[in-house]
Amino acid sequence: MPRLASLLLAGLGLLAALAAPAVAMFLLWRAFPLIGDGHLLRLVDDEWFPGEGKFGLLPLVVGTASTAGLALLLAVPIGLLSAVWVRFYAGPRRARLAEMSLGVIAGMPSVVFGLFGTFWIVPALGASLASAALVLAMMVVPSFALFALAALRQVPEGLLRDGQALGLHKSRVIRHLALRTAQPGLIGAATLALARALGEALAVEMVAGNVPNFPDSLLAPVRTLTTTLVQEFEYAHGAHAGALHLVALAVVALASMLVTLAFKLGHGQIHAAPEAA
Amino acid sequence: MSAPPLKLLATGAAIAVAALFSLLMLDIAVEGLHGLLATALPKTTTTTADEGGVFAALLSTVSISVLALLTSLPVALGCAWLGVETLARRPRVGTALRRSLDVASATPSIAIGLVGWTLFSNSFGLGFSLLAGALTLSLMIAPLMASAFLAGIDALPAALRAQSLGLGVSRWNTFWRLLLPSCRPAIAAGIVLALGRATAETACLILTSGISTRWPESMGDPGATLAVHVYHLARNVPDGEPRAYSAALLLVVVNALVQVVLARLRLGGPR
Amino acid sequence: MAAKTFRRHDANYRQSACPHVRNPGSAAVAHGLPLLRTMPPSKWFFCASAAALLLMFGCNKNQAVRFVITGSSTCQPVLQEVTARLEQRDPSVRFQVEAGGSGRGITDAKTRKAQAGMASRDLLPAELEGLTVVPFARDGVTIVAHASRNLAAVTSEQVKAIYTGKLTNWKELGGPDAKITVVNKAEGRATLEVFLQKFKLKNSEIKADVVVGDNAQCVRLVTGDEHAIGYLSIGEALRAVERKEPLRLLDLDGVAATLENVRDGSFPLGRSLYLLFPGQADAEGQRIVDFLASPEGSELLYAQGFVPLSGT
Repeated sequence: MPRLASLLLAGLGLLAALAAPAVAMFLLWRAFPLIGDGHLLRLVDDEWFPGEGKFGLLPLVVGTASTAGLALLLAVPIGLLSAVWVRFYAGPRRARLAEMSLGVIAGMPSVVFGLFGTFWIVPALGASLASAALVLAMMVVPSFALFALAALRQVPEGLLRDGQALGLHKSRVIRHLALRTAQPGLIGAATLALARALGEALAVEMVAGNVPNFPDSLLAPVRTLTTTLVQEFEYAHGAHAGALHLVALAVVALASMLVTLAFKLGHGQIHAAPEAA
Repeated sequence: MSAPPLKLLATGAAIAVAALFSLLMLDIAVEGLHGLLATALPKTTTTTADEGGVFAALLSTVSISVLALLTSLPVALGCAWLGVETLARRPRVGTALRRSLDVASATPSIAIGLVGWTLFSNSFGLGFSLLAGALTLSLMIAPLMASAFLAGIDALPAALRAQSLGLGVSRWNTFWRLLLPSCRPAIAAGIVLALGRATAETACLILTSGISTRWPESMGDPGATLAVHVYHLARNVPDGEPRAYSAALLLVVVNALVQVVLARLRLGGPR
Repeated sequence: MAAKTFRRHDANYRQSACPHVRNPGSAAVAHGLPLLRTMPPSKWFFCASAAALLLMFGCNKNQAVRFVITGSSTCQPVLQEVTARLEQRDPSVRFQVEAGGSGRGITDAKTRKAQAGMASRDLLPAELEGLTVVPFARDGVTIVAHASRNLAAVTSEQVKAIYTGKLTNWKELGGPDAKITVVNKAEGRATLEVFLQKFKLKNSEIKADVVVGDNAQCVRLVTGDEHAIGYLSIGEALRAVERKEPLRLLDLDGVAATLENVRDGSFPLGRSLYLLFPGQADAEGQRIVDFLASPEGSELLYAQGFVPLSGT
């Protein structure tokens, strides 16, 4: 009996263990009609107009890269500084409160940020690259700060005390010892934040304008890979549906590459603290 | 050379973050309460199709989350079992398993939603339904849960399992009666974490459980969860702002409760 | 009771198995969820599996006949309302109306995935095959702007110029010096196809500032941005005006966007709304068609901003 049960259990477990490769294979299989038709080159084009048979992914990739990259640029300094404050300047009680609130906000539904963006940011900046980047930055700051905090916590206490014993100012100790030592973990944290930012769909769709072109200014509308899925999945057939599965595959590939990279770069300073994933 | 004002910068950043999120929360709270009061009054322009509203969304949220948790719990436990067994025999496979779980829990939910839509809604013929939504959701939260379970087991003393096996206790009993009970907080955290993800999720559900605002009567009916409801009201419904805010308030409260429980499990445990 | 003995046994066992680990997890148990505390995990596991299976298959039993309608998001609100009224009369049939675009309506009806499809554009000859097509209403696509704009009419040439990026400033339309926010529809929407067909444009020629999905999103956007110009179903636009939304329907080539002009065919951007049935309409499908043709149906269509075909 336990033997049969253990086999059954292992079988169930395989479902989760193979979820990631299975998702990728499934998307690839669904996208195959498009690739197999020898249309692969059509994907490297700068126009996305499925109605006219134009499936160029470039504008979408550029949109994704610009929104997520800009969001990271905003989120990293603020998140890092907040983590430094929590780790080195806040008292134990404040640190605990801060960590707990960051955890709560990191787990908050992304639509809430989208809602906030729709009624606070879009009226000021229009549906644009800037709005999308701001909403994404707000979304990833808490989880990035938590990851950075975890990396800073792993810096050996003795190292910091040594630094202070040498007469270094606290800010020097932090900059030259703590941040330097925690660097791999911090880079890993930033990579995870990037992965999260480029995988977000609805919050971006609410504020980005969703025009598939190359943004020429911060106030220009953008379309990302994920928002394309939101807007078109229901209405797609044939080659269009294949192209959308390929878009999804691209998102999955990008995200999993970044996550793998994060763990590589993190040198074990990054835990699979999944609340930020 | 004067020392750079790092303290000032760090404190400033922390205050800015705190202020921003307080503003966000305050906005949701004020507008949400306002919306709740406004919608409590008899409506003028509702159609019968709009009957359910926020409470239907609450019911959908609960049923999708519960069903997704129930389906992913056995899978996650199975994965933990697999992790314990393979890690003992082949460390490489064990590492690969953990990486796979990490990647799976970081997979963008919209892509999982597309898989769920193609697979469950179309190929299995479930259409837009709570069942399709829950299955898709469990595709996403099962690896997350499994990852948390495994992290808990990994944190136990390495010799624990070997000693138990050495005393002649079977693998099966070691797993169920020793390893799992020993990392109960991690298991509880995994479940709560998955619940938090389930209540927060929109992208994969909008593609599978649909945006219907009526009362779901069975798992085969479509139903918008609170998060999807917020999206729908903010995006598709002209004049939906007050209702969107009131739904968002409810959503934030539900989600924050889950997150606080999670944070207590994480931080509040014995030192 | 059983659980209690189990736990005692559990603890004894643990002590003997690993004497150096002082009661592993006992402190943790105090902080675990109460449910987890009282039930051994293997039972937990089986309970969860059983409950999941039960929920999945038990709750899915539904005695009512299910009738699924999918397709055009323009038609969806009407059909939602019609089916809700039909359900009130006969609760044994449960209707499910899902938007997904005319294309989906056609495919779903053809593959019998849905019992009926909705389309808000004319079907191509190839698409007609195997379907019974029942037109039930006329609608139009109107150009809209924010109500605060001092603009009442546009010409086809102007619309074309605005959407191709040749006319970009409100000044050229007699408004203030501000950039026009051009609102376009996302791929696959019938409204987009009707619009492109009428103005002989390709979607790739359009220089949009915002792309929206549904009609309602278009209303949201245009009422929220006084520099915006968009286009959407007349029905949806009239309903928005009725709700006192700051939206203005613009005359096109001198013809006002009214239901009268849609009915007599003088409005240039007119279209029909269709119900599609695989093969012949069955009894439930016929009930919908009959309802739409009845006086009550006409009234409902008018209320939703469409022109019923059965002239009332």
